Amino acid sequence: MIQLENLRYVYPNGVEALRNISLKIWEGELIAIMGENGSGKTTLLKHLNGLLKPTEGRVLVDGQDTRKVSVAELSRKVGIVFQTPDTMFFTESVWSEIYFSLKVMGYPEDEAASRAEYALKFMDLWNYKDRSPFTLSGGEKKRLSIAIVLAWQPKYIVIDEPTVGQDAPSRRRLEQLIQELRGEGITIILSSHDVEFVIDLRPRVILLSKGKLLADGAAESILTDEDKLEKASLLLPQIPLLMKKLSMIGVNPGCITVEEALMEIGTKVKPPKSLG
Amino acid sequence: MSLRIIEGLKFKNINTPIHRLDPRVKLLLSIYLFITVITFGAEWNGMLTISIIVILIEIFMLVIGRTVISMLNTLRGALPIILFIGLLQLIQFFNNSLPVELILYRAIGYTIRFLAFLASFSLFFLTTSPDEVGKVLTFLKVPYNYSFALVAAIRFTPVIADEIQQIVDAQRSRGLEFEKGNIFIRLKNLTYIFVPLLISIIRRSYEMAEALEIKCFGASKKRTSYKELKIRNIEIFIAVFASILFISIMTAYYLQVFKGLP
Repeated sequence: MIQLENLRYVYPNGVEALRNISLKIWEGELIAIMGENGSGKTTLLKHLNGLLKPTEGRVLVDGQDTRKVSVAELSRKVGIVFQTPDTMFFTESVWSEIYFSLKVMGYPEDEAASRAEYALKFMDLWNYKDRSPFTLSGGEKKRLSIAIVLAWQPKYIVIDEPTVGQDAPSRRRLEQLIQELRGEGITIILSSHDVEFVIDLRPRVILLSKGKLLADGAAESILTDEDKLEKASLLLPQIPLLMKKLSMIGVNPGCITVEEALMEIGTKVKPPKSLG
Repeated sequence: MSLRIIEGLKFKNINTPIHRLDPRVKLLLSIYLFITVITFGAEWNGMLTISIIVILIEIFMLVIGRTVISMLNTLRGALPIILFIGLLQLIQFFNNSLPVELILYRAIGYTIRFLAFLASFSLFFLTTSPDEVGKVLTFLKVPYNYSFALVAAIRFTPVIADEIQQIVDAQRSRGLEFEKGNIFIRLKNLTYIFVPLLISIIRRSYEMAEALEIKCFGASKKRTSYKELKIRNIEIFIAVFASILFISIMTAYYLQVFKGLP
């Protein structure tokens, strides 16, 4: 479990990025940290593996205080995938990019090789293993950055802004992969302001605004609450917006997926006789 | 990993008499301070005295320019270099032929000279906007293509610093420990920062070149400027006064007036 206790963080230039945040992240959860640009999402994520140390309060990862443990040690449990994958790459091939991290973490050669193979296959990158990471497409780079972290199988995988610069097929593939990782028992924590992407994952949503915790709850309740979303400078996703507009004809505005919306509308709207 | 040394080049737009000072006069003052510091390098010939006087002038200007905190951040970032300069002299303790007081004099003198040298640059860049730097270069008849390149480099310094921090964070999250290991391991670890940084800088420079093409950069040979530099009488007075002082000190130095002074 990751526990944030009255977390406050002030950058050296005096900007207060996080104010009194307290929350618990349980094992196996899928969590989306949402909020406008500058709301403190990335700052919060950087506290999870000790890259940033709290100005006040504390962060406990499986009971370990992040102020007392090195980033290298915490990274074994909490793997962070940053928004810009290019900041991670420096080797000549996709394979060596993954292999390198495993060697740094001290895995013996044969185990490092088998873990690298597992991560590449899981992320559909096995065919690219000899390519330069810099020649991959945006979606492939994102998958490679997740594969790098996945290779050492951390308990928690943190993905910062997974959909930035991703086209529709890449987004869909990412969505599937996140669900598959969750199926492997990994706790996934992602930050995003992409409401459409998040709503399909149905995670627990943590809403931040100006460094403060605005709301914490199921996607179904938070991503259909226009007032809360507005406070975090987010828009209602398309389906809840449509259902809200249709609520005047008596449909339940709480639906969040296309299938749910179709079912609900079907119960209230009779098809024309010509359609049977 | 600290990037605070770059703070010394980061301009902050504050309304102070130093910020308002004509950038040409400011550059002139910085150059005078810089040349004075590097000229007074001979032992027992005013090196320490002049370096301290220069530092006091710089502190005075930094206080008026409300940039002391930025300068202190630079000094914190440059601390390893400052310590290295001092310790390099203290190693002479093992050389029995040198008197202790000379070793201490050198250690303190060279460290203070370096601080004065660092502050002379910071003073100009902390209080002068990149636009004003560009105008000064144009005034000095530097071709616009080159002055623009320098101004762009200054403008992008904070961006690059931010990018370095992102790369360091990404690599630390992969288990790399930059603070561990001997000097060779630490130097090798730097390649894990430089490769992604280099690629990002090359990519950014291509993007910038395209943006400049779109904005017809270089289409007109004779450029005009919306804001022209105008010097005030008080600024002329400051420049003349500083020049007289500078020439006097230099003449005194070459006439060996300071001989015997610490």
